[in-house]
Amino acid sequence: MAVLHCSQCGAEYAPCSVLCPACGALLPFDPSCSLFAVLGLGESYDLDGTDLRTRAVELQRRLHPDRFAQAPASLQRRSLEWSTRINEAAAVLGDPLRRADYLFARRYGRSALSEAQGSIRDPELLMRQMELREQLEAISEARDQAALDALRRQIAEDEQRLQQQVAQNLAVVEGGNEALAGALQEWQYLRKLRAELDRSEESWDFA
Amino acid sequence: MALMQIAEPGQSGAPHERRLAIGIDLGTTHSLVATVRSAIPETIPDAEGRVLLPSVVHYAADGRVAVGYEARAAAVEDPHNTIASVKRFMGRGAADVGRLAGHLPFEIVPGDGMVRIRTVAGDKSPVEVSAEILKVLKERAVAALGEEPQGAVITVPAYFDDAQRQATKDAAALAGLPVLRLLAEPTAAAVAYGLDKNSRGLYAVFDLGGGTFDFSLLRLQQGVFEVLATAGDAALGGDDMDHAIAEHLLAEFPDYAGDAGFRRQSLQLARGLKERLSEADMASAQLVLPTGESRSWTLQRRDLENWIQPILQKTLTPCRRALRDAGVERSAIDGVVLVGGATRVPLLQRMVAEFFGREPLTDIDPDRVVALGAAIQADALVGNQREDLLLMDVLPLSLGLETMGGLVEKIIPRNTPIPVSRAQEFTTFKDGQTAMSIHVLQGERDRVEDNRSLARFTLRGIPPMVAGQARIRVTFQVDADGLLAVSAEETSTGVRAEVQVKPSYGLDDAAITQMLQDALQHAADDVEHRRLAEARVEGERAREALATAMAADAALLSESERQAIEAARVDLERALAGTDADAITAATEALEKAAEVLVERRMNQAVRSAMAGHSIDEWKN
Repeated sequence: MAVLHCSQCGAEYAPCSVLCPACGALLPFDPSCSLFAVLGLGESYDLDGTDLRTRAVELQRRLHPDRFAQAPASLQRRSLEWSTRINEAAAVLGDPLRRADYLFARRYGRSALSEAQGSIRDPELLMRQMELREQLEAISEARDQAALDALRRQIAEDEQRLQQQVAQNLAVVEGGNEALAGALQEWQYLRKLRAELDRSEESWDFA
Repeated sequence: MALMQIAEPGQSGAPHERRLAIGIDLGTTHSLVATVRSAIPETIPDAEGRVLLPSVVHYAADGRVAVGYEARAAAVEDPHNTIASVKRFMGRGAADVGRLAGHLPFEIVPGDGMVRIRTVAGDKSPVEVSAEILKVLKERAVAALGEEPQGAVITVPAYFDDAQRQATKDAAALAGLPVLRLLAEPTAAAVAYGLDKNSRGLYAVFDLGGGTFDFSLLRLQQGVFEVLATAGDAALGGDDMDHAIAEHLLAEFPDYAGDAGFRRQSLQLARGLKERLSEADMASAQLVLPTGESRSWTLQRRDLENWIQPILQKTLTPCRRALRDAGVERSAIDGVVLVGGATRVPLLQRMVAEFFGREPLTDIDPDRVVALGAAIQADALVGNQREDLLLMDVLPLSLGLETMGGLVEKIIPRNTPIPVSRAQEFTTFKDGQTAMSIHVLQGERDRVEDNRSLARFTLRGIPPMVAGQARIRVTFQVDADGLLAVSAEETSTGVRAEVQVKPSYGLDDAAITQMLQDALQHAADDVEHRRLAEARVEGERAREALATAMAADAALLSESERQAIEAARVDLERALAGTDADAITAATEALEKAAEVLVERRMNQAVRSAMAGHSIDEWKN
């Protein structure tokens, strides 16, 4: 492995370091580093959300573009790239669904979600989703707040169940990727349904 | 000159190593400028001691431009050439402002792109009008600070889209003001609110300005202000309450409802009534009909509240949306901050208290709080020590691309932390297709026409391939100002086409160049203007120093000496009322000369009182 040295102070630093461990200088941006690596985390589905947020905020505190408002353009660019990347890491890893898909992509070389847009192949799953959607339409029609709240709770429970299933699957080193991809797609579908439910409720405000 | 100066404690000329920067609240009805001196943020008043500058610009036939109170005074006389609430037109096309058209005393010029406003001095873009306001604020700051600030933080409603932000930046460029950062108004308020490093928790900022409503949820932790979600309405504000009141007033005088001057007068009276009804239960306004007759119109707070209730109700929808986006319950909020003059309305304070189940915070003047926060951020950005302060904002509205069937595919959802970059791959749908048209949109709706069109461009030079084989990667980069850059590239062959994007409603480079050239042609006027401003500051300083000295020690003067000074003072007052810089300077010098005798006697008296109790002999040795 190539040895990296800080151009400011000459100290050695590990790959994917953001700030020089000796002098604190902002190091060159490396787009090949994983979202886990930029936050100094090991690659695992199981992580502490508070710790993740703290790490991201502490890094932003030192490398955010506002810290380089008076710096040369090259450093400003570096700051923008790192800051963008840290935000992405916090957003992707902070969301259990996107974190799972990111790990899926690292493992199988493709996202389970981006290619599945709008199409569900499992007929059983398809039926279930259609039922939920019809349920939401009926609720919207009737403006039934109690039923809407119940449906929201049910979606939350289903998401919970899927998260456990996904976590177990990702914990196994050689898992069947089809089952995992299916769970992720179902989960994404529930997310969309939840967003529609929110929008429907919001539209009632205008009545 | 120096003789007249009586030093005030704490003002003696400490050499400042600090770099100076300013914060500007460019508001719909009022604008302010603030700075940080001696670690304390303060708003900068004009020569008359007024902090608020009405965001009103008047264009006269001779090309003279008046800004602020002077322009507002001209509004009744010359409503067609007096532009108020220009912020509502920033980055807006004719279709967006159609709703307001009936209310406006000035004329909107139809056309593509950003609206223009017809004046006797030519058609003006909202960017040019805003630049006039910024110029006055900048001059005010230069006069107070004694030097050019290194840059400015300008606040924008959190809910401003890309075109509106870009227009604000263009206005600053036109005013010759380097922009350090565009800052969301609610975030600025949170910073000013001393929600400082000692505070932590979840705060809601409810900002109802003249023409915009913003609601933001922030998480605070050791000086880091993290915006969790923001929502709002870019066309809802205190002005709407004024219009509602004015409509009722006009309904009582239907014969004159079409008279632009009368409409303008009604609006001003409505604003005054609204303000007074924040304190009183009943208020009256005196109005002058176009016939010259005067009438009195009385309004009860109860009626006012009935009229404005539907307007205020609209603010709660964005509140709910932001809470939901952030996944936050109302009960989890540790404090609610009120910002904007319109939040002084008692009904609004009751509604907010009821919605959040807690009394809102109102200790800082809601008119100044945004400018103060902007000044603190500006101070941090020019490198003065505020290592602990960091503001992390979000993208207020989703960004997407037009896809088949006139639908929008979201690429970056709203409330994503910025800076952010996101890429999406598209492909060709025809064999041998070598170009692809890309349409960038901002908004939450599914259909293209319901969203704001930010830019259209064409990616050319795609190598001919079978349909579906090309891989066109479109990348969105939103910087820390919330401004967007888009690039596109064909990745399967590595052919890269660079694309420059201009927002559809922004100004293109040619328009900015033209405006800068116009500005240069007026540079001579600006120099003259600067000289005048400086002469006025000196003249007023002399006048005030004299007033202080006379109040204390007028008895030291003989009657004829007093008359000579008084005559010089009257001359100076007269010169100050005019616009001749040389006359003001001459009158200032004459007054200082006339007052020398007073200064000398005051000095002698001060020496005598220091020596009091001692005989002269004691001092001789």
